[in-house]
Order: sequence, then structure tokens, then C-alpha cells
Amino acid sequence: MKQFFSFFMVLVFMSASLISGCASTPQQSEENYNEVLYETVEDAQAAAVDALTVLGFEIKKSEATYVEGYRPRKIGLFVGSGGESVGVWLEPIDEKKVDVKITTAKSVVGIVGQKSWDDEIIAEMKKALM
Amino acid sequence: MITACSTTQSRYVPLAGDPSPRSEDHPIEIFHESLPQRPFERISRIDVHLEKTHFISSDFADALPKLEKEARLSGADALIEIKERKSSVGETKIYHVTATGIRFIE
Repeated sequence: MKQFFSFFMVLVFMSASLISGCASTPQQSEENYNEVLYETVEDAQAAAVDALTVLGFEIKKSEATYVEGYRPRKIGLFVGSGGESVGVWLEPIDEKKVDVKITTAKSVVGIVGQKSWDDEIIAEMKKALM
Repeated sequence: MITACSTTQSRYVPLAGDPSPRSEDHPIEIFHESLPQRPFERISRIDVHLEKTHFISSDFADALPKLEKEARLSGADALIEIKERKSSVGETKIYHVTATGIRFIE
């Protein structure tokens, strides 16, 4: 009976996770990817939105100094993909200089098929700013 | 089920002014390599993003209906500067196309 209850609770948790999408929220920390770009914060913000779009993220927040995106989850034959959330923080240092911090938050469900997108995002931002 | 085996995302960003959308059956010309001979104005940037699992690839033909739809919504007559890119994550094949929507100047 106890084993059945434990199994039932695991099922309930997994179902709830799947229904909610179980997306993690990106958190700003000292360990985030960090780079300084010699651009205005407006240009860097537009580049961040472009970068997330090109990489398949749905834009969830597009603020003056913060962009957040979510990659829709896909079921695979062996390993699916998606489910990651990314945050891009833009801190103006001066008029033509902005500090960019990026982090990828992976969710518990489908973590095997997830990856960090920090490098791709900064690369796409640079392309968009060329 | 909340998730699927494939996803399609598309958007347009206005580049100049705010032209009125074209009708649903308005023909959209596609210029893969050359530019139109008629005078035109660049009015939108269009992105279409396709992802499929099970190792199934996508190509331009798969993205074309969404490209045309976004072009019409943005008020464009044709698409130029078409850039395609392909990548993969595990068994997920990713295809992304970016194009510039233009409007012919009468």
C-alpha cells in the first residue's frame, strides 16, 4: 500500500510538471555568462531579441534591459528537446557600452535533451550588431 | 499532450513606417539571389523557425507558407535577402529562415 502511494505521488508530480511545462526561471548570478559589448543598450536589446528568435525561443519578456525566452518542448524518438528558459540582462556602462549577462535555466523534465544556449546567444547578438 | 514532435514560430518586425497588411490572397514574389528591377522599399524583417524531432529535416518549401503569411501581414509584396540556416540538437533538426519584406514603389 505504501509503495503504491509513493508510485501514485510520483505520477502526480510528473503529470503536474508536464502540464505546467515545468519551465525554470533564469536567475541572475555571478556565474552567468558575461561580456561587454560596445553598443547602445537599445541596439543590444534589439540584438538580444533577434538572437533569441533565430535560435527558436519564444520571447516571454522584452524589457529595456532584460529579455527572456523559452524554447518550446518537443517529444523525440529517443531524446526530445526544448524546455530551456534564458535570461539576457543588459546593464549600460556608458552611452556606447553595455554589460551583457546571459543564463540558461534547464527544467527537470526532459533535461537530457536540453543544453546551455549562452554561447550561441552572444554569437547571434554579435552577428545582429554587425 | 502539451508537447509535440514539431514546432513552428514566425514573426515580422517593421523596418519602415507602418504599411497596411496585404490581403490573404496577395501574391508574394520570392527573389532568392537577385533583386527586383522595379524600385522598392525595405519594410520588414521576417523570421520563420521550424524544429522537428525524429531526425526529420525541414526546408524552404516547409517555411514558405509562413513566410508568405508574415510578408502579407507586414504589407510586403516580395521577399529578398533570404538567409537559411540549419542546425540540430540531438535528434531535433532545426531550420531557420530570415528574409527582408519589400514593397514596390508605384
